[in-house]
Formats: sequence, C-alpha cells, structure tokens
Amino acid sequence: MKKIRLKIDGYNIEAIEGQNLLQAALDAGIYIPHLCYHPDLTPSGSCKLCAVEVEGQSDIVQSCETIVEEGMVVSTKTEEVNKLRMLSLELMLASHPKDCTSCDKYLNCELQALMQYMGVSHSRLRDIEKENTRIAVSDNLIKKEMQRCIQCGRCVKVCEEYRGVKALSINKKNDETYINTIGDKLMIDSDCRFCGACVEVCPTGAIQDMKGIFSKDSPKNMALVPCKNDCPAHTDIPEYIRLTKEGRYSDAVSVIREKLTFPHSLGYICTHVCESSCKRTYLNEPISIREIKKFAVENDKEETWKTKVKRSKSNGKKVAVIGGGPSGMTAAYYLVKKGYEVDVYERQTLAGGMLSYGIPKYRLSQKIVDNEINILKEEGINIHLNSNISSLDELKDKGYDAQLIALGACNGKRPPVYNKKWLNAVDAVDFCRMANEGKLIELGDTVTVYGGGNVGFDCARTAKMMGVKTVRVVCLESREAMLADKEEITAALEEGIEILNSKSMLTIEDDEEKINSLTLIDIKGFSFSNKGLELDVVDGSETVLNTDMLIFATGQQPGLSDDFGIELVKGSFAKVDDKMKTNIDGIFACGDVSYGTKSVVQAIASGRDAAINIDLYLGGDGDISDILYERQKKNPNIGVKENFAKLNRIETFHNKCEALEETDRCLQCDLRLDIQKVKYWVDPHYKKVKEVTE
Amino acid sequence: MSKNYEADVIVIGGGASGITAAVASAEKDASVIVLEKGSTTGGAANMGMGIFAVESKYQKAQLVDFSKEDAFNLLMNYTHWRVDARLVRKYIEQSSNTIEWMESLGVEFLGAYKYFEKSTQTWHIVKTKGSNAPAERSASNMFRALTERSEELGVEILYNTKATQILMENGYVTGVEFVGEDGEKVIAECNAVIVATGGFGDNPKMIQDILGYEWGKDLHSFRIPGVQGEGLRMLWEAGAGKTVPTMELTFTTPGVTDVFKTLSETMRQPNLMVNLDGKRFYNEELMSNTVYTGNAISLQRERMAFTIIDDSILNTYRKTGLDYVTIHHNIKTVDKWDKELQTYLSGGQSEKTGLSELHNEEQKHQVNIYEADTLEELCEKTGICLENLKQTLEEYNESCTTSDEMFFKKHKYMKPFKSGKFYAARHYPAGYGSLGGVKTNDNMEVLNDAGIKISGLYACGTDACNIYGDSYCFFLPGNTMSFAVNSGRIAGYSAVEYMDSDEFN
Repeated sequence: MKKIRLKIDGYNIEAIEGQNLLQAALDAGIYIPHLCYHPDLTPSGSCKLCAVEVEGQSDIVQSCETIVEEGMVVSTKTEEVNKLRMLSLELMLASHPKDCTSCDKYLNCELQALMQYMGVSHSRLRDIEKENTRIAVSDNLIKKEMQRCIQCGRCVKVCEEYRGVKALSINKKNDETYINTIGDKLMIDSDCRFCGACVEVCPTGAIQDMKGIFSKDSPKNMALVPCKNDCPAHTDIPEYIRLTKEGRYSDAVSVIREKLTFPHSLGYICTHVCESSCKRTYLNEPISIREIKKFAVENDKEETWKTKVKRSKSNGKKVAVIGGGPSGMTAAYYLVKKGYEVDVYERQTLAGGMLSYGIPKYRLSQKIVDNEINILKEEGINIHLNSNISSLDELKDKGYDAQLIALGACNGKRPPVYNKKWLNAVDAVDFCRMANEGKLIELGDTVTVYGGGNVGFDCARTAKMMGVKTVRVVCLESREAMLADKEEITAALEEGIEILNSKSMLTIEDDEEKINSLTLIDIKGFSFSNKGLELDVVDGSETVLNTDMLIFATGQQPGLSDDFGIELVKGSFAKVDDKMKTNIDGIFACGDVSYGTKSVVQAIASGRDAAINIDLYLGGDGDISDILYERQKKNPNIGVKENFAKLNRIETFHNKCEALEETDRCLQCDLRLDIQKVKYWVDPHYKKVKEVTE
Repeated sequence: MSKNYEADVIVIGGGASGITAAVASAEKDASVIVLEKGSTTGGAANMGMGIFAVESKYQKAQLVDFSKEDAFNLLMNYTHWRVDARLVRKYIEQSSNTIEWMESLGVEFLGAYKYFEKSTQTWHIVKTKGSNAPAERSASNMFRALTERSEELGVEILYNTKATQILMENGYVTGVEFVGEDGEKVIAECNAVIVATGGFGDNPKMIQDILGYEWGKDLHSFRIPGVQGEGLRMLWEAGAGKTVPTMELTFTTPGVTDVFKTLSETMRQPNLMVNLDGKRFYNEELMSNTVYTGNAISLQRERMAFTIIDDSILNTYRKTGLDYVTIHHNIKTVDKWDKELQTYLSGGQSEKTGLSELHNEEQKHQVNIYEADTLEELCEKTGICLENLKQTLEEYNESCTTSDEMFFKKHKYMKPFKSGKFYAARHYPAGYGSLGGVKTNDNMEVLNDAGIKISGLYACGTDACNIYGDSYCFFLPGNTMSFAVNSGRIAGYSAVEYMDSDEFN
C-alpha cells in the first residue's frame, strides 16, 4: 500500500493511495460530518454533509467521492462548506419526526449526534409530511418506522453490494421516493435473508431490531449472536454451521472442540438452549443445531483438531478431581493440557457420570461415551475407577495442590412426605443407573412415573422398552407446560405411554413395605413459594390408580454430607464463591454439585471455568483457550436463496443433501459483527490528529 | 481489564446534569470520568429547548417583571413549603449566572419565553445556528458546548458504559463498578461520585411499584430509552435516604398526539371535557396547563377523559384558527383536520399511529379519536354514560349563553354545540418521566434516612429533583432542565470542595 501525504485543515497527514478523502481524514483523527457514507460501502456523495474545499478546485467537493492525491490541500470547515452542510441537514430534518423521545435509537442515533455536532436542531424549511412512510411494514424480526428514514440509502447499498441480496430499493409513488423491498413485498416474500445488515447500518431509528430478540444483559457483540451467547460454553455455532455447509466437517469439529469436550454425545442429548434462542425461531423454526453438530462429528474423518491442541509443559503440580462426569473430566482435560498432573477419582466402574449412568442407552450408546472419554484420557488423565471418595481426608496426604469436587447430583429428591423406603418405589436417577447397568428389579405390569421432565420420560420409555404393559407419566404441568422436550413427549405417546397431566399425588396407599395404589387429584395450577409447593386443586376430583412400581422423577440432589469436609448449602450442595472456591483453601467445586441439576453442556462449561480458576489459583494465567481452526475472513456476500424465509426445519439428516439444506437456513447472525461501526463526533479517536512530520 | 480507571470525581450519566457537573468539577481542577450508557451526551435534555432562569440579562432587556423573590415565593407557595427552601433559593439565585456561564461556553440564547399563556417568562430558549425561531431539540446545542468544554478540561467520557455499583468503604465513597462496551466488569477508583441518571421513566416496573400506574394502560408517559432508574437503585443500595418520587405528569391522546398534530391540538382546545360518567370535572380553560389537566384526568374513573366538539365548533376554528397555540407544535389552523381524520379512522390504528411496540396488542389497536352522527353513537363508541352526557351537553349549551356556573370558564371559550357530527378524543395521563427519589441537601450531597450526609456521594438532576412537591410547576417553564443543569453545577462544585476540605484526608 503506497502512502501519500496531504494537508487537511493545516495538519500534515498520511493517507493510502486510492483512498477517499473522507476516510483518510477520519483515519487521521479529523472528523468530517457524514451520513450516507459508510466505510464498508461505495460512497455516493448524496447527503452532502462531508463537503470540503480542495485548493485549486473552484467548486465544493464531497470528500467521500474524492480520491486523495499527493500534496492535496483541504479545508473542512470553511463558511461555504458549513452553509452547504447546514442546508443539507435541514433538508433532511424537514421531514424527520420530532418525537425523538419515543424512538429507541435515542442517544444512539447518528442523526441526533450530527444535529448536536452541527448545531442544527430543526429545519427552517416548512415541515414536509411524507406520504409513503407507512408502506414498508415491520415483521417479527425487523421493526420499521420509516417516517424516521432520511433516505441515506445505506440499507439499500448494504443489501445489494455488501450482501449480494438486493431485497431493498428506493421506490417511487406519487412523485415521492421511499425505501422498501423491491415491489413492496412483505419481507418474508422478498429475497431478504434477515441478516440484519440494514439494521446495523441505519443511522436513524427507521430500521431496527424487533425488541426482545436479543438479550439486553449481554454486550452487543455477544447478544447479536443468540445461539452462541446462550450456549453455556459459548460455542461458535454460526462458524461450524457454515463449515458444515461447505462439507468441511473436520474444520467444523475443530470449531466445536474449541469449547466442548463431549461433542458426539451432545449431538445426541444436548438440551440445546441454542435452538431455543435461535433468531430464526421468529421467522419459522430454529435451525437444527444439535443435529448439525452430530452430523459434523460423525462425518469428520480427518480429526484435524488433534494436531492443533495447545499443550503446556509439565509444571510439577498435582490436582485431584473427585467425580469423572462431564464436568470433572472436562476440568481434568484442560488442567492436564496446562501441565498439571491430574487424578480423577470415579466411584463407578465407568467414567462419564450421567452420560454413562443417567441417560438411557437408546438415546446415547455407551460406545460413543467411552470413545469420547478415551479421547480425553489420551491427554494423560489418570482415571481411578471404583474409587469412592466420601471425605476430603482420604486425599489429604497425597500432595495435591488443589482439589476439585465434581460429584454431580446423583441422589433422588422426592417430595418430603414420600421419603420412605418402599420395595416397589425407586428414584429416577437410581432407576436409570440400574437400567444402564442391566441390574433392574422386577417391574410388574404397571409402572407409574411421577414427574414430567426429561428424566421422567427416560424412565417411562425405558420401562416400556423392557416390556411393561402399562406405563404412565403423572405430572403437575399441563401438556403445553411440560418440561420435557417435545420430541420426547411425542415419542412416548407413540410408544403407548399414557401421560396424565395437571395431577398431583394426594396419598399413597401401602401395606408398610409395598405401595398398592396412589390417589391423584386434578389441579388447576401450582406454584412454589417459600412454604413449598402450593396447589390449586379441583375439589372432588380424586382418582385411584393401582401400580406395581412407582418411580419418583421429581428432582435430584448431590449426595454430600457434612462429613465430606466442606461447607454445604441447601442440605447437600457445595457452597462456592464466584471463583468456584469452597470454604476450604485449595478445594474447588463445579458442575451439578455446586448449582443443581442442569445439563451436560452446562457441566462442561462449568468444568472449563473450574480449570481456569484452579490454574489462576495455582499461579497460572488461566488461559485454556484453543484455536483449533484458524478463522478466515468471512465472506459478507451471502447472495440470494429462493424462498429463504419459508424453508422448513429438517430435524434429522439422512444424507449430506439434507445437512446442506438445513445449514443453508441459518441467518448467519455473526456476519453482522463484521460490519464496521461508524464513530460519532464525540469519539476519542477524533480528539487528536495523527500528524506526520517531514 | 486493559486499563486502570481512576479519577477525583466519577459522574454517572452524561445527560444535562451529569455533563454539567463534570464541567463544573473539572473547572475546579478535578480529574473527572463520565460514565454514559448511550453514544452521545445530553441525555433526555437533547429533546428540550431551553432552561429556566430569573433576572437574566434577557429578562431585563425584555422588561420581564418577575424577580428572584417572585419566583421563590411562587414555588414555595405552590409546594406549601414542603420542599427544601435552601435548595430552591440557591437554585433560583444561581439560575441567571448559569445563563452567562453557558454563554461563556459559546451557547447562544434567543431570549426568555413563556410556555403557555399563564406561565411566567422564565424559559430561556437556546438559539440554533442560522435561525431566530424557537426550535424543538435546540437544547442539544448546549450539550455540545458542554461536551467540548469538558474535553478541553480533560474529562474522560466513556460511552456505551453502564455503571452497576457505587463502592463504599467505612462510609466513604471509594469508586464505581461499571460494565464497558465489551461487557467486561471494571472497577474505577475515585473520591466522589455524582449520580445523574435521570430517574426511571423507562422502567414500567418501578412506575407501577412506586407510582401505582400501569404503563401503556393508564399512563402513557415518555419512555426515553435507558432511563431505567439504576442511579436511584445504586444510591439506595449505597445507603441514600428515599424521598417519594412523582411523575412529571401531563396528558396525551395515545397514538394521536405527536402523530396527528391537527387532530391532537384541536382536541386540546378549551372545549367540553367529560369523564366516563359524562360529567365535567375541570375548567377546560386550563387545558394548556398540561400538569393540572393530567392531575385532573388521573383522578377520574379508569384514569381517562374525553374532549368533545362538533362540526359547528370545528367550523368556528376553520374561520378563526385555534384558541390555543403551543410553541412546540405550532399548529394554528385546522386545515389538515379532514385529511388527518380520514387517515386516522381508515387505518388499522396500530403501528400506523405511533403507538409503540412497548404497548401490547390490545393497546396497539385502541382507538382514541371518535366520529359519530349522534350522541347515542358517540356514547356507544366511547362508553360514556349517555343519559348524563345529554344532560351535561344541555347545561353546557345553556352556560354558553349565560356563564359557566360550574367551573367559571371564560365566556370566550364557551363554544356551544349547534350542529353536525360529534368528535371526541380520549385522553390519558402522560408524563415526561419520574422526578426525585433521593434525599439531598442544598449542596446536592446525598443524605441517608437520618438526614446525615454520605461522604463523597452526590446526586443531581432528575434523580434528586424533589423541589416541585407533588406536581411539576409549569408556571416556571424550563424548570426540569434548569434544575438538572443548576444542580449539576452545584454538585460539581461541592464535590471539589469536599476533596479540598479537612473532612477528606
């Protein structure tokens, strides 16, 4: 890039050959007001605000359209220039509404900032009322208040030349121009790809994001990509979806592996909050993100990520991890890579925690779990199986510099009145474990599952598959409000499982050792207060159900007791601070044992955090990040895809074509982050000119 | 964390009050950081036009017969001495000097104006470049000048930055925790914190909990984005004493005011106004005192009221123009009545009429302007009690020929219903935002519940604006912004005095 020199307002500055004068000035820290200009778009000189005088040229020129020349002498603040700018701004304001306070862009509006900068707050011209401002309509994703449009044309340009979509244009009706989709179509009928570029570049409140789509609590660069933001591990989802689309499965897996330790398992059983927050949900249905992940993992032949893993030299320090579930294994993996010697103590005969002992095999095969554990183990984790640690004392003399409690929440939690040992009643967590171990007791002809979450359905479907004639799920929630995933409910119904909704268990009829029957009562609603569960019952609606077996799927809790040696909260949970430290120095806790039953992906995220915190505690830098796939510059040009808004979700892929189709539905929300931000006149960048000396 | 932040004074909020406080402190050689949530300074005040002052050089030149003593007495009588007299006195005393101070920063004023007929002439409207007419949003010029001055003085303004907590140690302010644009939590150390976040006008939950209005239903106040009450929350958490906040009440016709200006202004003229019972409750002559009107409306059943006219009244306006003309809307005639009415009544009201997405679906489809051939039809559409309305109308028409024995409205505003269609507009309480909430003294030092000051903690502007009692005082226009600016100045100076004092070590 050849550098040339010029003089602006008396400052000697440097510019890149071929650059436009406006950008050169802005880069050098000299603010020139501008509105239609955007650094990513072709200048058009239409707003006239960036007017300047160039020595030797008789007319005022638009700096955005003027190419810098060696030795150019420019004045940006002459009286003539100011006059032209003021007139131009007033022309825009003549039709711009004055009710700024009801505009969501208030204080984040380029036009407002320009008014402030130029001292023009209103137009001396007659107010112009535009006729066509109500033609363009909002939809679920994009809010249009076109009366605020000043027709700078940025949205049209960004859509056409930057995205290659060309959904928007400057239309004309009754001798008045306005901006809308080509042919005044609804957005969903147009070529719009809902990428949000038009929103991003709109300098006023004319085109905005519909409220509620993006989290207000997260910083903008995270909030704008809801799937990634809401994933507990913040997996770079749009990136791996794109790579999967291109058939680059190994690269896609590398992206996934940067954050997730059990991607293949997650491909089957992840609770996928990413899908719940997917922006496409507002259009029709979310992207099948979990399926895409599974597809990428199962088609990754090269496993290129393995060659890129960052490993530190041994640092001579030792860490014990108590519990070999997803959280503990994840922490162990990252700690080993950071140079620690790590011992994992697992009480069961297999590692994997709930992946091995909680989730039924028909949902996730043990082979997949074992394989993923082996991949982690290969890094050098020492796993001690069948090693139950019931007190910290047991590890006291082994010379660990830090210990991590990752014992999960492996005990059932029943409504307090039912804490009795019946021969034919079992907690879901134990039932699932026994089923996975193949150690199940005789179930009888009728099994009742109390609780309508995913675990309840795991139990019900397992019982059904084992040949139990009548399997019922009883739950407090109505069918619509059930906590289990939709696909679980549908599958259960198909398998002939009965679901009794909006019912509570009133009493259990037993003969001391065995439950004979249950009395249920209909409820209109329920809530949890500090007094516990409160029911709104339908009087006289009692029914009696006989059952051979009752499974309580009413929650789980950790099995920690005071003997373990750390301070507990809520009975059996490890009490931790925001650095995941327990009350004992050097003892940390992560996963379900610290926050209660959540999800595998949450446990993985927690395990990563634990590794960071332990490394920091032991004097490390806390950096466990891996770059397993070197990001390339993203192509902003996404082009047109026919019927884009109406493409339906494909739940499961049978071949690459289906995977391609589904990945193509992605709105690629992250592309919006690459659009440059326009700096306001108050920006610190403009407080000091970058001058060059001879 | 890439950078350590440290300053003598940290100002939370870069609106009218905050940026003024920053300049004031910096002029006294303090180092200052301003934490601003938006991308520009000036906050809600960018929308405004000017500031209150008494005995300014403009008023003297314009022969305005209204002294500091008059202003003080007016406000203290208005509030029954239930507000801090020392603060009111100090504020009024400083106000004219603030005009000159602003001019020294390069701000120009057009002169002193009234807001409505009965108000005093205290509103100093900021001049915009190349224009000699009052203009909406002109106050933004003032904030540009203040922003530039603050930069000259080395004030560091952090934009897109949200303060989350005031840090205290042993009863002294020690810093502020904030979240930067990248979402990272940062702790900045300082000796004094000035809170100037502008109240909670954009926080429906606080509006409901504290003021008892359900936003969008019986209150349609401005929701200036970002004014969410965090400042008050942080102050209260830091131990500040509470005062009872109020809403700076006005009234509005949702979906009509500010959108269909001719409809709106015509239906805000001093003609018959009734409640759902079909009864008058107000001297409509006072319609242009929007505070009084808002107060009266919010006392009515379902907090709503209707102004009614007919074609004969409309025809009078066609000939003579409107009775009341406001400076900011400047609608003088009813030329656009037919066109606006047709647009309004033919459109599916929702987004076409400016009811924002903050309203729920039902509210978005609410109709607030009615046209009817008969009283029966009108009552059918509006829900007004027909029997009572008939009687009210009869009495009203009679009063038009004699006098308004009910509320003593001036005869010139008594226009009888003679012929043609009826038109009605439904009005609800509205407002500019909340006022007050935190206890301070006349140095804008924040006090705890016991009335003892919290060392190093200051509040100014709307968060601390407790000087109007229960209702904004519209008789002294330019007051809210002026209080923001003047209390900001007081806070800015006080903070520096504190750091220079023996108390501070």
